[in-house]
Amino acid sequence: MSVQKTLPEAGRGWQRGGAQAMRRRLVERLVSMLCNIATVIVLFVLFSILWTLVTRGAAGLSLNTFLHSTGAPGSGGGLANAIAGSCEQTGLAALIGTPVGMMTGIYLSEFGQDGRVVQLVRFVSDMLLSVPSILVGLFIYLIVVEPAGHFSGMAGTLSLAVLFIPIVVRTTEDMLRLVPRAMREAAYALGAPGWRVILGVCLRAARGGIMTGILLALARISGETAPLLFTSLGNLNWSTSLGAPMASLPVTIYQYAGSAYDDWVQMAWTSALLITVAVLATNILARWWLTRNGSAQ
Amino acid sequence: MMELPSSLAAHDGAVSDKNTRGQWGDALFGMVARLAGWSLLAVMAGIILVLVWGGRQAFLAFGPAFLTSTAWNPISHHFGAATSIFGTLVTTAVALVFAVPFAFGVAFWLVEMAPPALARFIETAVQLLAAVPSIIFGMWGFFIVVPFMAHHVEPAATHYLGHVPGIGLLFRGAPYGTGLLTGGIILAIMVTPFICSVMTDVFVSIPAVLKESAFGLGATRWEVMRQVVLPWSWAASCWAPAAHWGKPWPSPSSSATATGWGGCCLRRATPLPRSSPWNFPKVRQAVSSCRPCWHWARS
Repeated sequence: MSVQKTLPEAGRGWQRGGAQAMRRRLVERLVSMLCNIATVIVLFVLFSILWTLVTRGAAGLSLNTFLHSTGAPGSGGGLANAIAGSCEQTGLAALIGTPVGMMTGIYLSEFGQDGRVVQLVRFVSDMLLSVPSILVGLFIYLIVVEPAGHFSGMAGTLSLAVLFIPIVVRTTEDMLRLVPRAMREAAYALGAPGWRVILGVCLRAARGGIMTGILLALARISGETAPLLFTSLGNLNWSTSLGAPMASLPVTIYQYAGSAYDDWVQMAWTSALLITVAVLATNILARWWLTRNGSAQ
Repeated sequence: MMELPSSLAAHDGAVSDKNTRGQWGDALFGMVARLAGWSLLAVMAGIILVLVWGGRQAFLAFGPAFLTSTAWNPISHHFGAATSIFGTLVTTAVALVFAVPFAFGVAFWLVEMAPPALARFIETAVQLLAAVPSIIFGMWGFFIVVPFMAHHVEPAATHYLGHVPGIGLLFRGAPYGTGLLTGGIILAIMVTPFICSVMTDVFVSIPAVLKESAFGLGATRWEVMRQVVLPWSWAASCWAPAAHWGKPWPSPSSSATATGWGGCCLRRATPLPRSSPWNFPKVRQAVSSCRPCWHWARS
């Protein structure tokens, strides 16, 4: 059919009678209804997950949870070793990943003269963003755990750092690109060398956005289970040594959720609640930070 | 020749000293930055090498048949990957079949129908839920979905659908509640918030003029979505990574892992525009002029 013939029909509005208008009205109503139903179902399911998590997780929450290490079934242990292990591993991964990620982000946004290599690094960094985390675990297992002959907290830290870096790279580059050109030129005109312009002016202007990226990356790695399973393995006792297997909350969930003991299952729910609260709080903090500090002033 | 003022000339030594210091600083800084950037290349190369090296052994032992063999026999040392590959493909497909329509429905509702205040709240909630770690969904699935499937869904499904070729495969075996269908559903619940927030981001990023002119021509919300927004965002999602990355933080589309994958879901989710009983020539012209991908998308 030709366009000229159909256009006036469309302009006549959909409130008219006639089979076509009726059909359009019907389709519109149907789609709206389906969308409403889909929204209700999705929100119901997602909030029921949170609700289950809160009700079941809070039941096992007490002071003991934070003071005692995991114990034998029935002995009423806590999660202190898992909490400490999670904090240590994610914290160290962030300490390793932040400088490397930020320097790589700077490299991508400021060293365009390297041409092809910069494009390759950007491509690889984006690829690393979408590498399944279990592959990173396998990689660290083969290069760290296998030569050493034992699982270690260091291996877990390294695999988390590998997951941490690309997120920071992406944010740093995006945020540095938002820094106005005039700002750099002003700094150069005052005689500042390149590295001082980047560190003292550009990074300073972009710090709000970069901080948000770091927080989001932290939230992301603190919930990772797969790469920790065969790098830091988990530990039933209190251990903060990087050379030994180390407990962490996600691995505790993984090991305890499928167990046959009620108190271990309870402990898994409590770990799940703690992790979710931590991740959501970090995300909310990151959002709040971004709205307060803006992306690039 | 102009003579330098004495004050400047006096400071000449200091200035050049500063300049050399700046050059050294620049050289050092450049070295550190390059080192950091190239270390990523090393990591990626390491991952690929380790995978190839590790995978090589399986292929050396079993040949290319490793991919198609269903054997898993530790006693005779005979292994095949077909079972795992099949399981991965089927659960992913089931997850997409469930997740994409729901995610689209929610995104459509958020962009076009919801009251603005509510939409902002729910959009934030969905984005936050996209950040919940996967093990939480897994655990919830294990304790809630699996028993539900075992008691309510699977017995009936096996009875009525078990003999249907294709679909029956999803219900094969005893109704333990675990299986391809359950796995797919839990995956679907897990990725829905993510796909939804990527879709919302893309739908919002369409220029308001395009939508308004379509509405001005008398189109309904669904017609605008199908003939203006979807074609535009289809092009956007495969044309410009900016659809994901160019947005201000913190949209989960930029924070989460599977962005390429999210875009891929989107591409699959959005139907191509077909010729319909009525058209928006002007809008289409506008769209095609700003998106060269349009003609390709139509073909």
